[in-house]
Amino acid sequence: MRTCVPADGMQAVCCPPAGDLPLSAALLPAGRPAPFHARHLPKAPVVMALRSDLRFTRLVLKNWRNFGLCALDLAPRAFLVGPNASGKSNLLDVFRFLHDVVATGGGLQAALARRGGVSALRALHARRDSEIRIVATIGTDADRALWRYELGFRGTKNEAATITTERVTRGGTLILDRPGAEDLDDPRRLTQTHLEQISTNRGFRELVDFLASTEYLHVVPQLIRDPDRLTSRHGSMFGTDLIERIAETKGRTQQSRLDRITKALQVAVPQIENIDLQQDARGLWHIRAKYQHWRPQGAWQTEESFSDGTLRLLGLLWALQEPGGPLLLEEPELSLHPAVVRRLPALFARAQRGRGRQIIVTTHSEALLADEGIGLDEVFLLRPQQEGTEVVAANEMAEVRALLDGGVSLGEAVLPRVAPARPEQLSLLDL
Amino acid sequence: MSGVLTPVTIVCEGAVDRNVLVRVLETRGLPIGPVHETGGKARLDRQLAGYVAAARFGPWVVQRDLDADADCAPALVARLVPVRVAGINLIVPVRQTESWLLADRAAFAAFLGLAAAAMPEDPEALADAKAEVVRLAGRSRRRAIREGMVPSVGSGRKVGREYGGLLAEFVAGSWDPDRAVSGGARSLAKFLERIERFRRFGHWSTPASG
Repeated sequence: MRTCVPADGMQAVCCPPAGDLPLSAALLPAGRPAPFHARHLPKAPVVMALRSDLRFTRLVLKNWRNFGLCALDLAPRAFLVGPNASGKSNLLDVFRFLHDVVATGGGLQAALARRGGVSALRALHARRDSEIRIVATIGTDADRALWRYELGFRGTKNEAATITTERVTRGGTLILDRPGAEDLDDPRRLTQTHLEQISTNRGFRELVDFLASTEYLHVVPQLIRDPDRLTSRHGSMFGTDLIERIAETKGRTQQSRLDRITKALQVAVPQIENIDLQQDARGLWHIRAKYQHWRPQGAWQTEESFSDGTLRLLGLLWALQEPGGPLLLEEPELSLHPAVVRRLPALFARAQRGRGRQIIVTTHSEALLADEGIGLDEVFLLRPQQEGTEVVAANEMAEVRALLDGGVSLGEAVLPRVAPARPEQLSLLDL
Repeated sequence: MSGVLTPVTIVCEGAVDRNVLVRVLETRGLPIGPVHETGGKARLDRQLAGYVAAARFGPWVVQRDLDADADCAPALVARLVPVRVAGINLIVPVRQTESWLLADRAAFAAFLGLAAAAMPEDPEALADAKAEVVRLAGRSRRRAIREGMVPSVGSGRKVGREYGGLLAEFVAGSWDPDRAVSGGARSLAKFLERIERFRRFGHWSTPASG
């Protein structure tokens, strides 16, 4: 089955060392997850506890950015592949959008404003039907459709967006269905979701807390190295508060996580002997690594001297150990050697063993897709079409299965199917 | 042979093969050079001519599963490398590298959380040793083994999400090549003989272990 669904389907969705790199072995989960703690800008609401096995199980989109109409059935781990500008980051942005709607200081209008308004969000292909609609199903392995949230809205450049549909379903029972009589009586009510209001979301706080727990991470090494990183206009999603997050984690938890990170980093950077934290005179925390050196004592260096790959891997390893909701990772392969990248899927799988944090990844990397344990239902191909980007799960492509049976790696089988049509044109340009 | 041995370059299909080859060479004290992990036999076969050419400059070990691609290892070797090249040692596990793990019966059974009696008598007689490992993992008493090594419904793959990682643990921690030879890994025995020859004379004698 193709993942694109008919319009009425929207209503129907209910439910370099020689040996193997011990990268995944270094990240052994330790015990049960601690109380949830979201760290975002804007801040997520305070959440006391969230069951760790909740995840997005299905997502249906209409007119969202590049996408006309598409649906994805999501496993605990997912890999999005596609050519540049096909919408991989825009797909991740749906989860960030839902987070922003429920975040403290957020809300629907703020989440839209941050994205340039409805007209900037709406797919260019949406000519007749201008409504944007998101249907997210959230559940566990045992009950894939525990919650279902449906949000439709439309708007123009000069007006606040208006909600056309807001529905919450729990276990198949509809517990919120808007617009209702009160909305018709006071249409301004339709500029806010019930999701974002404490006075109206009491019956589905678990859903709200789950959406708030989503974390997007795209570590930008230059921002971590910046001594003014904490006053940066860039949010924590770029890793600007990474070192502070580590510093805030106290005692044995911090030490055991840093020990695992040291072990994992040593795989990629064998010269690293040890990692610790140090506060400078201004109160700013720094992460330090001791490198083996020709001097007998070795040499300590702070994050300002770390390589891009070291910082990226560090950010990734920390995030994988933090408790929380879905983790959205943008091209985790960046700056890393392919031998390290090849082990990332196993690292994700192992990290998920204890705490069940869903991981959704965008990638262009053949090395990352080389892991023979990656399920075809975990890989989604984004292919731009006339009517918007089409999303196809790799398990729906018979030729991909045939290639794998013939001994071809998953990356080699899948990436040419999402490659630009005429890459050779690039080499013909006179610059 | 006196003097320092030249590091051996490894070519292998995947992560499990890599770990097994490295472990074998390490137990025999051979220094290990670059490792080419091809991500499947299709690319390995395509690039074989390059490996053969490069093997003029140093020792290479190339692992390629027999699978169902020939009746026996020598037939596959003759097809893939028709002309002998002294520097290259083409290893053809019969029929997959996993048979070498299965052949270390007691240790592998303990790792999988099964009785040794559950292990196959002659792992090299199996048509698909990898499938046998996955089948056995599905009967494991250990949840991590069952959930990590067996593919989930809808995966469309032959192995589970942690197959490579968990087998890496076993290979590094428990697997013993000599016990595997005693347990019926005949293609591994040929590899070990060849390594012994390399240690003594500095070359692999023939291009293949088959």
